[in-house]
This record gives sequence, structure tokens and C-alpha cells, in this order.
Amino acid sequence: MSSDELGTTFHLLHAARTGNSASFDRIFTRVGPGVLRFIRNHLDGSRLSAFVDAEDVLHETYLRILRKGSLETFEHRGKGSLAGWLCAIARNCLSDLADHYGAQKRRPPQGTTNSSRVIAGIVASDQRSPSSEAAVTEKTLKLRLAMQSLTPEGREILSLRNDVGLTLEEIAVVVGLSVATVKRRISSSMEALGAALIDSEPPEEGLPPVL
Amino acid sequence: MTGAISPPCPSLDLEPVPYGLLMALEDALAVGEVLVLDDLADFFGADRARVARCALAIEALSWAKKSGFWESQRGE
Repeated sequence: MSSDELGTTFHLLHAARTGNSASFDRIFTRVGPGVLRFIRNHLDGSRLSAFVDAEDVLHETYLRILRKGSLETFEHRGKGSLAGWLCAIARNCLSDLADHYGAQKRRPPQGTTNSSRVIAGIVASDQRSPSSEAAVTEKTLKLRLAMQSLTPEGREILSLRNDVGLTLEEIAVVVGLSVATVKRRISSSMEALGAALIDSEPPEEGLPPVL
Repeated sequence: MTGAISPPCPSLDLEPVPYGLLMALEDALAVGEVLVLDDLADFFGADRARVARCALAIEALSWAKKSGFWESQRGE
């Protein structure tokens, strides 16, 4: 994001706070896709995903902001701060929804494993849209399965860092940990991801895996 | 890679590799530097196999960013 874009975000926020709904829409059109992917990543493979859609969680996130007038108190601190703030609210929504549905104590209706659900999802999306066929590659499948092998916290932190693009400080705020702990979690998650990618290679090859 | 050189997968008992090592790997990969894992491992005092695992993860996540992996997540 350039300094011009940062300035635009600042001005849009200011306009949105004065009740300009078009500015509100533009702000969330800009950062919404990243937040939505964060929510999807959070839900992917979780029991809660049997009960709610990512889009619903994003809508609930926006509604919370509107209901509570939270935008009034948000302090824009530059690149990533708005996305990080939204991710933190979305995370609270996910936590509340998990409590509501008792997701920690229930089993998904299908009773399938994470891996089989991932594959089923890819196959289903492939069947729905011929244009998505090219996107479903071996690399994608390997990386998706490797991400699935991480802890939910590890997936969340890597998503915030490598997809949403938050800084260490912003991630620390979202997940409620110190920056030093975030660094350690990133390191261990990265190594675990690499190990999972190696494990996904056929054992008989004995060659370095190529993604 | 064998278990004699390093554990087959990261253990929670292991101290995470230094974050600075990840940054060095990311910088090197971003500019296409030829990576000398041994040198980096020595510099940071880390096991070479662990450094290689991190490098693989960084490459994968870099590819994910370029290829639209995150956007192609199920349901989008």
C-alpha cells in the first residue's frame, strides 16, 4: 500500500465516521477480501465450519462495527492496521459463534476427517465451476493439506502474516500475544509447514520436494 | 533426510529457529540469491535440515502469494 493509498484510507475513514456510507463501503471493499480469507482459513477444517459460512461471519463483523459505532474509536496507524483491527473483531465473532454452537463438543454432521473434507471441497468446487479446474493443481492440494496439518493457531498466524500482510505488532494485537511469542510461533509454524510438505512427497523418490 | 541427522518433523520440544533466520531466508529467496543453507545454518547456529524445512515453507508461501492460492481457497 503506497503512502497515497494510506492517505486515501485515512480520508475514507474520516468520511465514514461522518456518516458517509459510500466511504464505509469503499473501505471494506478494499480490506474485506483479506479479512474474508482470514475467516475462511480460520474456519477451514474446524467444526464450526459445519454451522456457519465465512461470508456470514464477515457480515456479522461489519454489523458489530456498525452497531457499536466502533469505527469512531478506531485509530488508523498505517498499513495493515485496519485489516488487523477487522481480523481481531472477526476473531471475536468466531469465538462467540463457537461458543454458541458448542462447536468444541460436537462432531461435524458428516463425521469426516479434515483431509477428506478438504479433498471433497476441492472436488466439489471443481465440479461446480469448470473455470476453477486449472486452479486445482497438485501444488495447491499439497499446500492446502500441509496447512491443514498445522495447529489452528499456526494457520491463523501464517494467514495473518503471509496473506493479510499484517506486521508482527499487528498480529500480536489480533491474537493477544507478545511480539516475541508471535515470532516464535511463526518460526515453529513455518518449520512444521516445511516438514508437512516434505511428508507429502512420495517416500520412494528420496528427492527434495518441489512445490 | 534421515532421522540420524535431525528429527523427521519439528517437535514442540525443540526451540523454534530464530526469526532472524526466517527473515534472512525470505530476503535471499526474494532476490533469487543462491542459498547456502549450511552457511545460514552455521551463522544462526541452527540444524541444516531445519533450515531447509523453513526454506521450503517460505518458497511455498511465496508461491501461494503469487499464484492466488489464498484467493482460491474453498468457497471463494
